[in-house]
Amino acid sequence: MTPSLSDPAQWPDLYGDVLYRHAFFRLRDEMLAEELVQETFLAALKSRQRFAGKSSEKTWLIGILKHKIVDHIRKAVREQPQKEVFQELDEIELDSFDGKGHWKFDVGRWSDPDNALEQHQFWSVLEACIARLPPRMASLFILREIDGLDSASICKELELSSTNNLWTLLSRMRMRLRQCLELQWFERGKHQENKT
Amino acid sequence: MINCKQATAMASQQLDRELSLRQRLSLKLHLLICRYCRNYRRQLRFLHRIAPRLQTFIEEHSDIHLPPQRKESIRKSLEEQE
Repeated sequence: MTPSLSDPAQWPDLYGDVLYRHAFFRLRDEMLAEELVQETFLAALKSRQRFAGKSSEKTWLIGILKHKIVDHIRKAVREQPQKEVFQELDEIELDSFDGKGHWKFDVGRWSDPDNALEQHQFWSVLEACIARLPPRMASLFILREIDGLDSASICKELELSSTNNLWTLLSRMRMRLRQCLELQWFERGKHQENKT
Repeated sequence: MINCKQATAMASQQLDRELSLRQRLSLKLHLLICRYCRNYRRQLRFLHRIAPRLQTFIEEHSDIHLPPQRKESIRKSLEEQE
């Protein structure tokens, strides 16, 4: 027996928003996100017979969307000169370290980070900090840290020649993100009550 | 002896790959004497650990929607193709 799918005419209402949020977060481009969601539904319709029913309908659709997003990122990353990519991100190191490679400022402890996880506002700050990364680079970060792809798969999927470059980029993005989160959340919390 | 800039790069790479024995030792030595880098590494690991959970938050975002006109046009093309 073939696993049953819902009526495709209902997909946009059932899954349109979830897919769109997923795509928009990764691409930061409304038009593009809409288009990829549309393509995803159409591709899903064509390959309906292959739906194994092992995962939920939603997971199946998101899987198709993820492939489309990676295809797009691959093209985008290839079009951007490597030099530019590195320049966009090396400021964080200049801001953080002196000529001898020592911290220019104190890196203190964060108070009760696990408590932050319970708060809606924390996640929205984290999202905003990721949105501040250079868009194409943020996609790499998201593949690695949110989707949990390992660096070998990322290089393979995106046809990047050097894992070393990827590691350097990831390191700089993590540094930026750490700093953003510190300023927007952990430091802020010291001055105002953020426990709701 | 590695400096903080090198130590932070290694702390990040440790999340992506296995460091060589030599690198592990230099990092360990640096962390023994550098409180800032210890804090830094702890914070990177925290972010690495919790980041996947952002996915749920994104999906449940109530204020972002696929525009109704787009939903309608997708529905039409799905019905045509069926």
